[in-house]
Amino acid sequence: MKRPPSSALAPALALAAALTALGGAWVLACGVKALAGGAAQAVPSSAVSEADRVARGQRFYTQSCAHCHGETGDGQGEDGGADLRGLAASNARIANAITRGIKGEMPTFRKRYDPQEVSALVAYVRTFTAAAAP
Amino acid sequence: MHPDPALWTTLWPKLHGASAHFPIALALVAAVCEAAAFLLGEGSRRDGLRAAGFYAIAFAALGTVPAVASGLVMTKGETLGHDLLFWHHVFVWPSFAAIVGLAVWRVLTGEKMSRRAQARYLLALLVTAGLISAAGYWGGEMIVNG
Repeated sequence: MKRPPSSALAPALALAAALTALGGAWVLACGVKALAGGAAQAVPSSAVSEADRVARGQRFYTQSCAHCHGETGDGQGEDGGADLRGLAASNARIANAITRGIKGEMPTFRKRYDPQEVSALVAYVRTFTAAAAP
Repeated sequence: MHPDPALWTTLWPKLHGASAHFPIALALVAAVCEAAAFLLGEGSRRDGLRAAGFYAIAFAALGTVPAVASGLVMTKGETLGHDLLFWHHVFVWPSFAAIVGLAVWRVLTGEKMSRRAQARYLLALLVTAGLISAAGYWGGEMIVNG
């Protein structure tokens, strides 16, 4: 039985549609990145290096975080906090926790640190390596 | 004009959560319906299942658009990321492409698929259902452990 043309071409058209969908997503991602990048460029372009960012983050960490999370991020601070070593959470998630706090567990630092300072804190928290297995 | 940071931290995650479940559920429904239809002999029950599978994959494909768009805006255009987000994306992109492709395949062929083509379609749909489920699993991990 002869198949209708649409049936014969369907797998090829399906592949084309799939690739088009991925391409569309990629274009959207680029657009969103450009928009978000514009916001980032509005910040003074002092070309802060990663090492500077980490050093800044360490200063903020010592001021606001170490008394709960411990100097080394092991959660052994005076007031008891979470172990921050080897966090699996994304940078955005960590920044969100710092900015908005965690209900009943951690205060919000929205008023204390601006987004660049939070980013520096995240960079420093990322330097805590995972605890060795016992 | 620059985007309001509060919008990114509150609105888009909610929109992503609200929209992402539809394509996952509908792809699974499509796979179950098409598998059941494949196993059944000719008859109205089989036709009904095939019709349900058709609409489920078509609406799953439509549902991927707001899910992917809100996810991309939420992550500021991040297409891979790291840790849990990376694993979420490893499964999201192939399943997104596959759902759209399968929907186009199914819409174009309608009921005119040969038995062999049906078997290929079903196999691809089952793999896709697995991929989108894994994407959903890693999405959930980001909420619970992220």
